[in-house]
Amino acid sequence: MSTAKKLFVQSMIISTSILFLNGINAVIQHVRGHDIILLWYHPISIVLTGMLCALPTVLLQGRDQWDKKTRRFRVALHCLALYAAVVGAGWLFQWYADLESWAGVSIVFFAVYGFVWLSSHWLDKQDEKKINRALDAIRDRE
Amino acid sequence: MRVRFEQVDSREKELALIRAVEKSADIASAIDLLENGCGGVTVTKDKSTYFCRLTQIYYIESVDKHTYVYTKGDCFECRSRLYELEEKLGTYYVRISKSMIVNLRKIQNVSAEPGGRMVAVLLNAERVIISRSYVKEIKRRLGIQ
Repeated sequence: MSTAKKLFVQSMIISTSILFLNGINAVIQHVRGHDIILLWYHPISIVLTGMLCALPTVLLQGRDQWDKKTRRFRVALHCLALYAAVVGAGWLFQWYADLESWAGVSIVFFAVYGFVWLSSHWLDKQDEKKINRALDAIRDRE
Repeated sequence: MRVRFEQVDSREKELALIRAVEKSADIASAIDLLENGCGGVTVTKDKSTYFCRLTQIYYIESVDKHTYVYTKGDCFECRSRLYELEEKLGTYYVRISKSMIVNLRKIQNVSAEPGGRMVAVLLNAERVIISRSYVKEIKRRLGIQ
């Protein structure tokens, strides 16, 4: 897949995810008796945030060829770039009412980022076990 | 022995089942042929030409438009391109990166690294990298869902 296509797909996934979470939040708030008002720039801010958050993906390209040190550095850089995109979008679209809400978003961001990496590594480890079991059955004896 | 052929509509459904009283030399050859495809590849080293049996091959690598065939302790050059070999090799020869095909039967074990790639340790203790995008195909070849 070309870089442009990857970025486009990621933008769509992130935008849809933000819209989905906001949709769920709106339903919850409505049930609790607090309706959410959508301003004119909110839909476009979701799309632009999706695009901004997709851009740091470029930093992870070619990661199969990296050594351990490069991988750690690039992942840290990706995390910070993604955080900058989230904070930047929040500042630009005035999502944070005060420092407390910014701090809350920051904590959630790092928790989700860590969870995504850990869960995908856990899934890879499950694949590793399955592959090793299957290899045991076909391995040549030398 | 009676032989029955049944056509299926996809590679995933392909299966050869041999019912026999014992695993004779002929049947072992048939199994080898079905699992490994053609018997081997023609390779060269120091201007001499050899026939390398598929069961001897550990992995095949393409470097600067040259194709190299690696056995347990040797390396040969092959005239065929990687994609040409990929088509004629058997089920257990699988692409693990843009420039490498590995013989799954020569892998001692694999270990997942953060980021999705895997490292395969071969029977001769060599280590090769399995790119993320090829893990799915390896699982398919090994019959893992």
